[in-house]
Amino acid sequence: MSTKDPIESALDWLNDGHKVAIATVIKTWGSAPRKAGSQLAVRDDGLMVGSVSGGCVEGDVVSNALDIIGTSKVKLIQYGITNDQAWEVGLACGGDIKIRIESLENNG
Amino acid sequence: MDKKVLENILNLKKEKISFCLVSKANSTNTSIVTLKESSKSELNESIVQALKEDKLILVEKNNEEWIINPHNPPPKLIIVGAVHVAQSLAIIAQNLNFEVIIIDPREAFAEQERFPDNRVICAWPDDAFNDLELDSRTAVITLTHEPNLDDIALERSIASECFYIGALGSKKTHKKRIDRFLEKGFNDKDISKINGPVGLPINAQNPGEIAISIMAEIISSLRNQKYQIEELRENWKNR
Repeated sequence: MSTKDPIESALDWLNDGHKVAIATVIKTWGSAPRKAGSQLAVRDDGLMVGSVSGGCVEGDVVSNALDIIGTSKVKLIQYGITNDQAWEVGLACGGDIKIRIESLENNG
Repeated sequence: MDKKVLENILNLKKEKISFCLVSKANSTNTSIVTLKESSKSELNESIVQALKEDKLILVEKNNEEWIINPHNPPPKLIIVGAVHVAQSLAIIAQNLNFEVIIIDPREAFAEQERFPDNRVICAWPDDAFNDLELDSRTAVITLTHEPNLDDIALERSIASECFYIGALGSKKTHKKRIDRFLEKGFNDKDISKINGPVGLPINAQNPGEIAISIMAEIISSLRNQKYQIEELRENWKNR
């Protein structure tokens, strides 16, 4: 009854013929909401399972994931604290996180 | 990563085997390294460290950045006493990815239907514990209020490596429990391993709230201990 493992969702989606990317928190500084290792699986239609923050950067991670989905590419993104610029993507909690997004391959 | 790697990850998780996902930061190449195989890897030291601390680490090697993402088996929660609090506790622990096992020799309580998602063992704790590994990732909680049931489980837990032991009961009940254990020859250090009255003091009023208070205390113990790598290796060997 626990929330679904992003890896399990990713495999199910690939088996259903979807393209999939996985985002992983690889480094955190300060009071980051999710610890390193936390993962978010993203499907080609934008559906997501898991999390990489408290909801602060997921939207941006999904759009970056969709950019590379199906390309066998990796993207590294760093998010810091939101500054005064309104609506800039960032972490309200004052932490910094580095995220690696990997597009999964539908073979094997 | 491709489907094969994802399938292997899920299989290792199902088999409760410790492993790391080792990837280069800037390429899609990810390999799975189990604790058993890690000694052959150039990154062995970091792999063992990541598993031990249960924490992802980044390593620079040959001018490349490597990501070492550890996956340890889920912690285990053994509940003695298939009572009402146990039902709430099982749901919460399950949601936190604990493997939950419920023990009670009383058939009316140890009813599988009362715990649809968990393993229920209808047996005395002494017999049930013979088939369970009480390792450093195991928590034991006794909820029966029956000294002859709870005490056996507590004695076995004190002698084990488990990271948390809790016993439900008021201060008065716990005082009596301490006296019984002193009489049995246990010392203060042994007895202090038992958390009683159990749970964080949130003034819980009903089974669901008591379960939350207990679970909070278990998490607090879990997050303040390190995984014991040698023990994980032993478990692997015994497979």
